[in-house]
Parts: sequence; structure tokens; C-alpha cells
Amino acid sequence: MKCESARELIEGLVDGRIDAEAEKSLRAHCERCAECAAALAAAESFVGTMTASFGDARPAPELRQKIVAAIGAERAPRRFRFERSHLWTAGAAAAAVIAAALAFIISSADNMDSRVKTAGDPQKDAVVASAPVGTVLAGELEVRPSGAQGFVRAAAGRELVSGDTVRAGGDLPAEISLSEVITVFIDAGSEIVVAPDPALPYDVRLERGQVFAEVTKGTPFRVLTAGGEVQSLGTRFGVQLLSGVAEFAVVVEEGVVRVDSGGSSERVSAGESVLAAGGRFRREGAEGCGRRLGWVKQHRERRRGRFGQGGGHGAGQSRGRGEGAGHGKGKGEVNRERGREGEGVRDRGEGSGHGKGQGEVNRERGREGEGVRDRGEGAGRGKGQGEVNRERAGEGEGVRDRGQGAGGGKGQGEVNRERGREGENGPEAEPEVKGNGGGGGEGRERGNGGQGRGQGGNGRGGVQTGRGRGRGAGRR
Amino acid sequence: MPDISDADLVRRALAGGRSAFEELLGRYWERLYMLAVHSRLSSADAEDAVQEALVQAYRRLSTLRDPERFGSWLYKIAMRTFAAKAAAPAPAPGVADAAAPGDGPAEETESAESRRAVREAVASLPDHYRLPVTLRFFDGMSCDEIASHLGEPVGTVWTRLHRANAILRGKLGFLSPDGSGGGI
Repeated sequence: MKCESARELIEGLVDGRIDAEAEKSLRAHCERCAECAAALAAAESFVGTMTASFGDARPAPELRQKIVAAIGAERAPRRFRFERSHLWTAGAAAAAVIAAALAFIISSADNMDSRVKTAGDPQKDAVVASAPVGTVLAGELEVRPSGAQGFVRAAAGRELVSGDTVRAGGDLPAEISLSEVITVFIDAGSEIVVAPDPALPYDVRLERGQVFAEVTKGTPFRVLTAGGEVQSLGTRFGVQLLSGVAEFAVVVEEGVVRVDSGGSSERVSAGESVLAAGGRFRREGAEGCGRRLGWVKQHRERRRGRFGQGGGHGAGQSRGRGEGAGHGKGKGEVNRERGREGEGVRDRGEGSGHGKGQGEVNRERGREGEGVRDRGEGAGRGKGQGEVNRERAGEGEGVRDRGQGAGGGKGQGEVNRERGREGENGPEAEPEVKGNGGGGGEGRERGNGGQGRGQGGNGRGGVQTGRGRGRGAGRR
Repeated sequence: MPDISDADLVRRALAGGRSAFEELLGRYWERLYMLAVHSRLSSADAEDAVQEALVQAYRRLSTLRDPERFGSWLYKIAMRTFAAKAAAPAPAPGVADAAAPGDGPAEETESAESRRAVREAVASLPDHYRLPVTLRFFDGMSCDEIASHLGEPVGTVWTRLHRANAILRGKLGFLSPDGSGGGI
């Protein structure tokens, strides 16, 4: 090792970015080189001083108790409350659904105490019960509100509230979304109740037939049946009621679920299916799994064809600051790579997709897709943001902030300035992509005012997926 | 106990689980305190400010849009609280009490002096340098871990940390590798 390399490694040691092997080589070099050894000693002395100083400054343990007590005296964080008069515009709807999702998420069974408490608070219940927990996405669906007699036809975009019974009334499966993080396919003739307990928005009760769910990772979702329940934390799986009242089948396409039946539980992983009845489980072979997923695959095929007609036209001006209508490219990519985001777009019924930047966002990072949904205004965005978002998960927040208008201002500026720097690295990394955009934070920082512009209808997405067409293009 | 993510705890807290927030608090309170005492706050002020920041975060939890970003969000709240507290006219500057606790008379001078110097040096850093420095030297996180914790690119974190360390070494009298070493 040369001294020059050794000095770099010493810097790496201070900054915490070299691994054990590199450190070993460094130390071996320092045994032979007095100058480097001195530099290493100085660096280690610095690290030691810093570490000791921080270690010495530890707070008294009582402080934690004091803070816990202070928090105990606070009211629980307020749930999201809907101001229908002004929030229930098309634009704000999606943001509200997401906020509701955050407010109502319940994680898992060990949180049961708090659930019980929540359910016992009539004031909260009133808010919870009236809040939408889901949306009709597509297909012939009929809804029977809790307490009502008959089913009524529900068009795409209709909101679902706790206790609604939803039935796929046509000959084909239909789809709903729960808080935009779970998509549930309901097979033809099947019936579910969404969020039977208002405090648990991510539950459905399967009343008849079969369902299949695509669940965003980390989202606690359960399918309840008369004979047990299936719990997932981010996976794709199906549940089918069988002839016996308490008998049901579970098939997992991706991830793992836990199946509870008659006091026993069983884990079922991707590519497996089991039959559950009265606490007994019987595993089916690969053939059973394939058979149980058959209708889902067919449904996806049909869906692809159907949505391929509609997505992503519309030319628009997506300026760096998020004005103007959105465009197709993003949507195509969204759907190709991240089905859920595409559905979010459809949920809102915006009619137009989003700019190139968002396409990249969604393609690369699931979470930014939520940003797109949150904004809920159909406004396009410039390439600058796309780059930002492509590179970093956190910028999704920036997008949301901007989209909601009131949240913008200074905070966004900071975000954009900071992220803009990273965007500058783009040309080397992905020149082709870079060439398509403009605007966004980077543009702003350079004083260009976010002049990115999007154009729809170039047809790229459609070729790729059949679900979205057009592409964002722009100039700086 | 299995690892529950911050985001999950946020969701539970929002669903009414106060104990979930207490778990979050347990993860962050010491780190926030470290940040506070390295932000020109006395120990007493730092305690108040950390409590204030966490109570504020609890009150505003429902405004957090992305639970995955809880940490960064909390740091922002905390930094603002600390800055406001440090700017308040009242009590004496925090570094003054660095010498206060526990050392015997013999060690006191040296180690308290060293602590004071480190606190002053860290406090003089911009906010976006101070946070990675705290995570590095208090939590012993690597560059990658800090990046992942803050949801920032490794390159950005490394640049900040490297610059911060260069400033600190200069201020504290530790020479860079081309020098011959030194101390406070």
C-alpha cells in the first residue's frame, strides 16, 4: 500500500466509511511507515476524544421518565378530521385518504389494548366511521352500506366506508383499493365487508367467494373469515372460502402470511397454498397454488388490456413548481413497475398522468408514488423533481408539500436547493434520462425558475406496458 | 423483542398506542440530548429542550405524512427547538456547565476542558453537519448507517461528515494526516 492510499484510509476511518479488511491493510502499512503511523495515531486520538466527549455527556436516566410523564399528560395525537366542505374537492381527496390511512393504521395484534380503547370512544368512532377507508377501482361492483337493505351499483371512484359490503356483481373480478396501499381483487360473485371494525381500516371480512390482495410492504392487512383469519405485512395473497363454513384456502404469490384457524396458526410463504379448517392445515402442491392463482392472472391480463386504452395522454406544461396538467409517461412506468401507484392515479380520476419526473420517481422508488397520490391535483412536475426523486426517497415529501400549496414555501426551497445539487450529477449517470427534463428544484437554484415542460402522447409507455402512453419531455 | 420499525411505531401511536410513542422516545431521547448539549445549551436547558421537542412531535404526529421519515422529521423539530432555546436571552451559555458533573479534582480540569472544547467546536458547526457528527460519535454509526438512518445519499453524508471532521480537527488541534498529530 502506498502512503497516499493509507492517508485516504485514515480519513475513511475517521469518517466511518472503511471496512474491517481495509482497516487491517491500513494497520499493516502503518507498522512499516512511521509517518502514516503518526497520522493514524492523531486520527484515532481525535476519534477517541470525540467519542469520549459524547459518551461523557449522557443525560440522567430520570429525563426519560420526565418526558414520558409529560407525554402522558398530553392528549393522544389527533386523528385526521374531514372538513368535507372544502377538503372534498377532487384535488384534496387523495391527500385526505392518505392522511386518513396514516391516522387509522393499526399495526398488529399486540396493539389490541389501544384498539379497544379507541373503539370505546364515541367521539372518535364517529369520525372514524364516516371516513373513507377505500375506493372502488374498477369492475362491476355493488355496494351495500352498513345497515342498508339492498346493493347499489358503484362506479369507479366511489368511496367506501367502514362496514360497506362490496360485491363483484358482474361476470368478471373487480377491484377496490384500501387507503391506496392495498388493492383487493374480488372475484366475480364474491362479497366482502370492508373494515368491519371502524378502528381497523385494513381489515376485510370475506363473506363469499374469494379475494386476492396486493399489500404494500409494512401495511398490516387482514382477511377475516368465519373460520379464521389471514394476516399479512406486505405481500400478495389470496383467500377463498370453501364449502364448509369454517374452511378456507390461502394462496401466497409473494411474501409470507400468517393463517390463524381454530387457535392454531401457520405460516404460508410465496408459492404455497394451504387449506385451513378448525385449526388444521393441509398444504397443497404447486399445482394447487397455480390453480388458485389462475383467476388472478387472468384478471391481470384483462386489466392490462383495459387500462392500456386510457392512460397518459394529454399534453401539458409541467413547470418546475408543479403547475399544469400531467402526462403519460410517468403513468406508463408507474404501472409497469409499480402497479399500485398507477391505481392511485386512477383512483382520483384525474384523467391525466404525470410528468416524466414522476415516472422516474415511481419507477425507482415506491414511496414517491405516494407523493404523487398525495398531491392529488393532477399537476405535473418538472424533470428537476424527477431527478431529485429518482435519487432519493425522501423527496417524495417535497412533492407532496408543493402539491398541497400551503405546505410549500420555504421548506420546499430548502429541499430543492439541497437536492438540486445531487441532480447535477445526473448527466454523467444517465444522460439519456437527463435530457428529457427541466425545471424543478435544480432549475430554481440556477435561476431558471423551473421552466421544465412536459408533453404527452409520445407513445413510449404504451409500447412498454399497454397501460400508459406518452412521455414527459422538457427543456431547461 | 423483534425489531419494529419507527414507521410501524408511528402508525401504532397514531392508532392510539401511547406506548408505541414511548418506544420511539426511547430510541431518540439520548441522541436528541446529545444534539442539544452540542447546540450551545446547558444541561438543564438541553433537558427542557429535548422534552419540549418530543412533546411537540407527539402533538404533531398526525401531521407527519410519511412515517418512514419519522427520524428526519423529529430531528428537524428538535433542531428548531434547540436553536430557539439557544437564541433565547435568559440563562448562560451551555458550554459553561461542561465541567460541572462528577469528575474528581484531578481529572476534572483535563477532561472537562476537553468536553468543553468538543462541545464548543461541535456547536459551531452548521446544523446539517452537527447531526451526522452526533450519529457518528455518539451512536458510533458508520457513514452508510447514517445515510440510511437519515434517508440521505451516502455521498452527501460522507461529504458533510468529512468536512465537519476537518473543521473539528482544526478547531481541536488534531492535525490532518499530512501533519504530525496533536491534541487538545
